[in-house]
Amino acid sequence: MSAPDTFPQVRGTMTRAGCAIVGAGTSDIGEVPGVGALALQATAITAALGDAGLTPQEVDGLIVRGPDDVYCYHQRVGQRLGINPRFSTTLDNGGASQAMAVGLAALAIQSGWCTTVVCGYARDGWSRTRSRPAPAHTAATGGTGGTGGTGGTGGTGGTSGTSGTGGASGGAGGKGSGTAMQVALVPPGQQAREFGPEYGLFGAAALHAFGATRHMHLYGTTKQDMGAVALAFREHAARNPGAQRRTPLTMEDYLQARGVVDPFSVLDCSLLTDGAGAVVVTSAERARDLARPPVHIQGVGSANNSQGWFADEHMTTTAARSSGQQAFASAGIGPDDIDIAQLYDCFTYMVLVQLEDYGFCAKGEGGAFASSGALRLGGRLPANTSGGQLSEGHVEGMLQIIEAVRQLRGDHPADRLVAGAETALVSGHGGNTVCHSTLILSR
Amino acid sequence: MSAAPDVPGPVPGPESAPYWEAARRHELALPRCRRCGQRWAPPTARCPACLSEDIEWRPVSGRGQIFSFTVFRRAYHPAYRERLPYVVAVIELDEGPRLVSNIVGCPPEEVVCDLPVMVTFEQRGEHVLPQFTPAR
Repeated sequence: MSAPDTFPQVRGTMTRAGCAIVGAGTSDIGEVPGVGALALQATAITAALGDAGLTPQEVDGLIVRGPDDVYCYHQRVGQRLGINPRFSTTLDNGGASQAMAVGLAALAIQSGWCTTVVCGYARDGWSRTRSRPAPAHTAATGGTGGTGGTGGTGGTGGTSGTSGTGGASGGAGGKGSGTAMQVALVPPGQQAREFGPEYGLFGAAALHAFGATRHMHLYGTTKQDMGAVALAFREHAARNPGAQRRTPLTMEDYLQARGVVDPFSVLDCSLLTDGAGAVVVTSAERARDLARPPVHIQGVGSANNSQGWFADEHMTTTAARSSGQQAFASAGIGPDDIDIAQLYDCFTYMVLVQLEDYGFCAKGEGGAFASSGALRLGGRLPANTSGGQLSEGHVEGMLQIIEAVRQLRGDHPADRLVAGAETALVSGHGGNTVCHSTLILSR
Repeated sequence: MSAAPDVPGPVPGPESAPYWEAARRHELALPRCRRCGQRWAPPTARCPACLSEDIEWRPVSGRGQIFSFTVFRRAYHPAYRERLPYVVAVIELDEGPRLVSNIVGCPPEEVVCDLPVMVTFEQRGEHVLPQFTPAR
């Protein structure tokens, strides 16, 4: 018997009887030394509860993720915030965890298990990779440290990231290699010991680069197509005072940036970021009495491609396809009904392939879609409107959820707002090309 | 400056040991399921198609095509610094399974998807590493 093609029970379209996000908050995002992931998480959850007008005592569900080497991370979050939830867990789906957490929260609420669930994610990616030397024998080909996490690299000085200055150059102190240090985000016990390190295969960037290379080969996708993603998101970040990288970027800058793993340069890779985010989920009924306009959870989907891209016929299709089909089916809408997209952009190429897999364009046309300007504010499908993980900061999909909430609530000033946006798609992608999760949200 | 560390060799697990033993004989071998005929890589002790543990190790042709690849421009491990730029590829063997390996014996600029390749072997410490080179 095959699984139903819709995520059970998370349905709100017709009756609005589903669940809603009623609060959102973040910590500082970027280079935030000396704080640590747990404190960043506490700040973000406090902000999200404040936004919702709720107290920790009213929270009975906690679904979080933090650094992957912290034992029972969720318990430490609860302890720190005075939350004694009925249901509490840490998710382990890499960058797919965060959107999945919101889906699970909705199920917990609709089943009556919980009434109010906090979903959060925190990382100290920037601090950790700059304070801890790379292990002598590092490898992370199939690492579980989160897809973008191990792949995330970025400029170190707020430069435009042109060759030699920014990007995934050595650590801030110039010691060792930045890329070697980012591999340190994967706990040592989880690093591959064969079929990777002996071939010099390390990090998430290379695994995603395989997909990008194949896509370019099959469909004629170009570096400029990927550059269109980097430039659009940097443009958005320039309008976001909280973004990690705001310096304007030209296509010339992009094409001259220092290579990492072909076809990716530093500007194709997401940032190494310290930061946290959180959202509060409750029933749509309860949401009516709270402080902020509710953002309704209309559709949820998730899928795994457990063999990774190696096993895919073309290596150019992700689990976003199945995850998206479920989410659209449960929301009762299609890609044409989406006003804004907040896509998991661990690498520029991932945006192109998700545009295709979600059906915003045909397979092979993601590059042309991005190059048309569609993803820019004012474009056909404004995407990653706060700058994404390529420029706002890499918090493993959490900021994508929060930006969707803020857009749908109309929180932003006019120059950042997609006026009238009613429906958003949010994606999560993790485990190095394996897991995918999708949310469809509406105001 | 201290000497660069050695390029790592594989650390074979119990299920992959026959793969590395075959490589030592300059032979590329993969598990094959006696029940359903499936071949797969990387090698494990249970057929991923039918879950049978009734498997055998069989040589494969060592021929295939570059399904996809990347050129490393930066060293993620200090031992690879002197090898930059180097090519890591996903090889689709003629028998079907896909393997991660290096492309050697040709400049990175000449590596393209679908290029026919054949196996070659590099001594790496106590191990022998199957790699691939453009097929003649």
